[in-house]
Amino acid sequence: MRALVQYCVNLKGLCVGAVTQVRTIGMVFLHAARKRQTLLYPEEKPDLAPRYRGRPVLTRDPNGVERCVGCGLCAVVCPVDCIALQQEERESGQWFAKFFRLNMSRCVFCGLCEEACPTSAIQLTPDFELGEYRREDLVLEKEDLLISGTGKDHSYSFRTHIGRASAEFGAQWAEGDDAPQSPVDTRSLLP
Amino acid sequence: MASIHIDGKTYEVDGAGNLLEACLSLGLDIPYFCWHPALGSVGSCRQCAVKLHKDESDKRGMLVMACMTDAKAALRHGPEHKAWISIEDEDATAFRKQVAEWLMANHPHDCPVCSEGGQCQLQDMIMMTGHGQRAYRFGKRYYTSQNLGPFVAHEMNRCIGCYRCVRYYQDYAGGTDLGVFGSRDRLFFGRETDGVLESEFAGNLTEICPTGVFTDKAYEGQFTRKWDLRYGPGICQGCAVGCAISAGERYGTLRRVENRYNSTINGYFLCDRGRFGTGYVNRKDRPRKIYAAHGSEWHSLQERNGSEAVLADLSTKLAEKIAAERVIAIGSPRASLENNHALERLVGEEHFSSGVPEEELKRLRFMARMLQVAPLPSPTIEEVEQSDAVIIFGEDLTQTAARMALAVRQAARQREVALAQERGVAAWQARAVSGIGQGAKNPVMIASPAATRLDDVALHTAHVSPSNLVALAQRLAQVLVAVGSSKSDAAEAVLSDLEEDEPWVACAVRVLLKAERPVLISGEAMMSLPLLEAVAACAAALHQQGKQQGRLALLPREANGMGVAMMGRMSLDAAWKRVQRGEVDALLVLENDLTRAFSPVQLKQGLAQLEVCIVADHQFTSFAQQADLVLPTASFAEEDGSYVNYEGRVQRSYAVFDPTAMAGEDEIRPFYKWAADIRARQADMPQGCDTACDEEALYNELVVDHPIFAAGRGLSKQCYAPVAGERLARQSPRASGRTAERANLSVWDKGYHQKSGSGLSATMEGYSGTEGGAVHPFAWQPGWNSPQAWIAYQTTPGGPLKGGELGVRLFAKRPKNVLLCGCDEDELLKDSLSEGGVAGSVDHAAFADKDEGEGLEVVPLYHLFGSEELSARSPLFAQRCESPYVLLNEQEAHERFGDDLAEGASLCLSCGTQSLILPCRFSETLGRGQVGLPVGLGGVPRFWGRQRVSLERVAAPLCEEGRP
Amino acid sequence: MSVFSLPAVQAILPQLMSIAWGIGKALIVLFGVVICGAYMSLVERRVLGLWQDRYGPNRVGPFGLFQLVADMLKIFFKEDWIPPFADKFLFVLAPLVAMGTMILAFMVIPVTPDLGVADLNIGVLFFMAMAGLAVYAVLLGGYASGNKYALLGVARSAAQSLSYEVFLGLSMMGVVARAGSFDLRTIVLSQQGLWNIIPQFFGFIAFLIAGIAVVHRHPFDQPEAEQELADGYHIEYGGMKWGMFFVGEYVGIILISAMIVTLFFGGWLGPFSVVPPFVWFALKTGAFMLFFILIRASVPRPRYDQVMILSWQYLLPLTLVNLIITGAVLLWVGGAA
Repeated sequence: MRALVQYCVNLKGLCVGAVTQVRTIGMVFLHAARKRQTLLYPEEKPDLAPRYRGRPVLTRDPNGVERCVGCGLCAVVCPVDCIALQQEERESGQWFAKFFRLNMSRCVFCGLCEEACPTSAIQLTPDFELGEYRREDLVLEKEDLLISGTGKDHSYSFRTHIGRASAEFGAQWAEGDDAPQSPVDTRSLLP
Repeated sequence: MASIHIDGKTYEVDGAGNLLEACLSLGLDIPYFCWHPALGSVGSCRQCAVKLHKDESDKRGMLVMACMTDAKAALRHGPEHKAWISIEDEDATAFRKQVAEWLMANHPHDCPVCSEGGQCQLQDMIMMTGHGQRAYRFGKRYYTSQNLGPFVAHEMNRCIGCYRCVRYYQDYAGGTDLGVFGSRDRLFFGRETDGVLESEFAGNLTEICPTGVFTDKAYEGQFTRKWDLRYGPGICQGCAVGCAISAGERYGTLRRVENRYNSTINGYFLCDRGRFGTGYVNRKDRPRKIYAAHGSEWHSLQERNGSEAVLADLSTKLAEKIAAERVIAIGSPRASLENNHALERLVGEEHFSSGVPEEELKRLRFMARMLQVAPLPSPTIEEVEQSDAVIIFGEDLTQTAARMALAVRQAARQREVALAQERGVAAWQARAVSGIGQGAKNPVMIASPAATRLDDVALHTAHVSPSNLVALAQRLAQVLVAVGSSKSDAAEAVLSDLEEDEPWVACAVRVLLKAERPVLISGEAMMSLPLLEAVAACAAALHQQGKQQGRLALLPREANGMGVAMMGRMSLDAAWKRVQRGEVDALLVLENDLTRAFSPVQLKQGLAQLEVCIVADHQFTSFAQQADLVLPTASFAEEDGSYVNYEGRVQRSYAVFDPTAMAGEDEIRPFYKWAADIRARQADMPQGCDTACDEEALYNELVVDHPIFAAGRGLSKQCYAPVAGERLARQSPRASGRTAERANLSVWDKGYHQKSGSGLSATMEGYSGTEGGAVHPFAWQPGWNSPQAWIAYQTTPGGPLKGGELGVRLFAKRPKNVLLCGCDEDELLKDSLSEGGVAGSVDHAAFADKDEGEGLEVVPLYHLFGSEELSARSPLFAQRCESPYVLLNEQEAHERFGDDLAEGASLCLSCGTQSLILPCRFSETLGRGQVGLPVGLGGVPRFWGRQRVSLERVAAPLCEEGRP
Repeated sequence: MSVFSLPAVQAILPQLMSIAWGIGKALIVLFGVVICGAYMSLVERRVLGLWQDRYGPNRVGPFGLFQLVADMLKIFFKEDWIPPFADKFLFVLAPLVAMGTMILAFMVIPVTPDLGVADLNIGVLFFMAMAGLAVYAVLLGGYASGNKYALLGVARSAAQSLSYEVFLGLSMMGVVARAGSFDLRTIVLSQQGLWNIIPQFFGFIAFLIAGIAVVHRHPFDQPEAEQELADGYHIEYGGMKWGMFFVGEYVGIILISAMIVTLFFGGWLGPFSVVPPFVWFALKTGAFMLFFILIRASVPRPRYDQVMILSWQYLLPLTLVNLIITGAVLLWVGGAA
């Protein structure tokens, strides 16, 4: 008896389920009248957001100096290890990348390099048309990556934000309005 | 044992040291700055605050600085030898965070452009405290940093004021030119003015400094983050001490040398030669392919058919010559045991020379023999540091075995510790110790021809000529024996008699009789076997006095000098005589620049007799340039090899990188591989059988021929991972760029070559924990990126490694009865002991006779930067190497050449047909009748040492006459 | 003088003509079905795209019509590979069975009053027989592949086919009873005036579900479930052999659609006499083929045990009840007449 009741309950559930299935089928059918979500790509170009993660580039700061200081944080955060670079120091003490190599045949466009970059140098752009006929051409060197603009971050300049003065930076301070204008007098013992 | 309750967990501790040490050795993380295992505590940074509770019911507790709290006192604080402390306590955490914020108030945000970033103790500790946001909104102070010379970069803005640099530089290393200026938050750690840091141990500042004030400038322009380096656990090639180093590679070049901690040898510190003197590995002009001299038939063969054909031809030629017994092979004291042995096997032992000149070989053999039978054993560096009296004969230790000199300084400083301990103050209480000690020093006695860099800690220095040095040592032995056998009154009488005539000897005898753990140090510097014998006699006398804790250190010159001496075989002079007599057609020289041993004339005579001269070297030495064929061999950074240091410790140095990985056409190979290849061709064996190139197999082959090295078997077990099937990782788990570093050469990923036999993995794959053997390629543990990570590998902070000692001492087991009998050296010792009247005063005239020869006696001088052949080839050393000069007693110089002789005037040394024109320098300490000549420096051949020369003044201005 | 003027030939000419026409009809149906089946692969992708708000393959030829050519070329030029661990004979046989049975079953479908390969008086039974044989394709293919996934697919397929063919047959019995014949042409003619969909609604529901299950289309694609079984019984197949499974499945769709139309929707019958019967048949069949695709686009795959429960606990009783009621009504109506 109990089994019969259970059977009836199940049957009811089945019927309800069948109705919802039919409803689903109907709703899916109505999609025939909807607009297509996809684009006919090479003829129609997609409208990509500025934060789309496509081709990585190396940008310059507002003064036109290349932003990359060769710190290596992008390389270490890269999950596929596709960035290799070498730091070098200018006479002035400025760091820059002697070479910066990005193996696009390995890149997964995760954007972690961009997140890790303290100087806003490496940025992913909305360019996704990266196909090449030779794999060798997918290995991008610094001259392939470096653009002449600032990319997404128009005003940022790492060198004015590090809060350090030296021959390179002069008495240039970004932090605090009452920043000291001259170096500490180390001979003074005054309190 | 007592129990300590930390945050609700119970640990067993032995109550030694302070709370910080106790917690760190339990693996608990407490941030700290001013404390350092080698420097002790001063409690100035206030970063290691923890809460100490009375008992488990005490909820309030009190904040204490862990580094200043005696673990025993903490245990007494609670009942029944239990202590309750809390690291996680809210107050303590907040306190530490606040302190971190204060320290960071002026620290710049320049980690990305700081070469400390990634190995920075400040970064680690700030992560540990959890400080993230700077509440102080105002400007940061700034400094003008200094140029401290070619090795150490200075960026004062990063300073957090922990004082570790000056505590190390002044207190530990005895430097005087780095100090602290200013007051308040305007402290400045630097020199008075810009200039090169004078200390020979300045490089350690880069590891002592918890942040980026002092950074490694050596590889400026090719800086690599620590996480990207491929490390190899190496052995320093700079001198015979054999410090353990971690050498790091990136993109096929050696990038950095770091200290590899071990308690017995180098501890936390290296000298600057070891740290910065490896630039020769990266030299562009290194032989990278088989080089056949222009005009030789091999050159045309190579142009036509490539190197392979040359090698085939070489193999057949060599086989002919070996069969005809017309070949000589010359090994090298700077090559590893395996390479020397490979050469020996290639040509047969009767054609193999150790590559060490006759006289030096005798001395080296004496040293090796002393390791086995000397009355006193050879000390480790640690034992030197712990000794309470040091007597140095003839060595300018800072220049010849710098790490030992640093140890001697510590030995002197031990007096303060001893005084403090008498008053119940622990050794780690650095400030209290120096307060109690007031600069008291253990006696260090130096007898040398001229001033040394250790004179400032010396109780008594005697500047005597090399021959008088021998007499002095013999005299010391005599007096020691005499005084020891007589009653105390009589002894005192003898000594007070001596005071006037021979104050140094009297002083030394008093020092030695008083000391419990005296150390006698001498070595190769004076190129004198009698000196070594006399020092050994002193050791024997000490032994007779019951000073079994005493030690005798005899220092060879080169990294593997002891090793080749133990291999025996003929000397370089004997070999060259055979060459000069025309008994030889083919000469095979392994990593040995013969121009440093022979005069150009001698070389020319020999080379003229040869059909072929083959050099296997990793440097284009002046000798290699005269060879018909140069085989490019691997430097220490590219091969595995075993080296025997001054105390008879075999240590294995492991390859850092594969030189062919980044540049495929390079033909650089370890010499043992070249030898195996040649042998395989001769025996028509299949080529490239790699099994013989497994480092353990190579060593076992060595032991077959030279059983003296048997104790070193199984050395490779010192680098094993405790996890089955794993190897020790040589890169940090974060190493980057794997799929891009070679992408410009080939876009197809290629795995890094893994050697078959080694327990080391070439990549990050593998074990990187703290267990296992004593060999760890680098120090890194989660949360600990700086060199402070070594604490995790130690049983106690600053103590031995969990994996035990590095290397194996060949003669660890000494005969129970060390009374010397049954060998030639014993006779020598007995002779020197019995020589002369015991109570009689030294007849100086007797020794003076020996001085009276023709002309002046050349005293060999040494320089840390430049005297050693390989490190002198480092481009970086060019700025620190001096050019050769000749040192004269100032008065004597003026007497001889007139008062107008100024420093820098050219003098001509001549000895027989040889002559050298060098600028002169004056010394107040160098005795009369001697000229100091820096042998090795700028290629001045070593045979000049201990010659008799005549001096002439020449008008010619100095140009390139520095070279012979 | 032609052969056809010979008296003997003249005598048997009508028979020859009818034989030729018979063969012609068979060929028309064969090619029609196979070409439609092949084109289904394109239609399905386009239509799925439509319902999923995207385009589907539209690059080769107008509206992507030549996509099929491209696919065919690809399939033909693929390596015809047999795994070394497979049972070679059965491995080759299975796709033949899969496609062969489905095409043979089409023999009994009356397309128009004139068109139809054979009017078997046991047409329904022949269809049942062929549907039963089709299971062997899966069984043999999966077994011969020597692959664990294939074997799991086979196990599911065997159980599913066994369960659903029971009431596949039973669901048709109501229709057979109403027509009083197993001949499909008779069944179609019996629906003049009232299509079977009205009196036999539950039979239709059961037949629809069982039909889907027999050709293992979504949501009853248990034997080849990609997600769990990585393609199930044809995991080891590739190239043209896989293509035959593929086309066989589409032919199955056409077959089941045609059967539904024949049994429940009056076959070629339609309201307007100007519209030729073939158009009615094609329209109705096409609609059901699209419906099959619509189901694929919208209904998820149930768990395997749910499939079995649905079959034995609900659909089998449903068909039995439907049969009893149909029988009772027929007897009652027949008795009255």
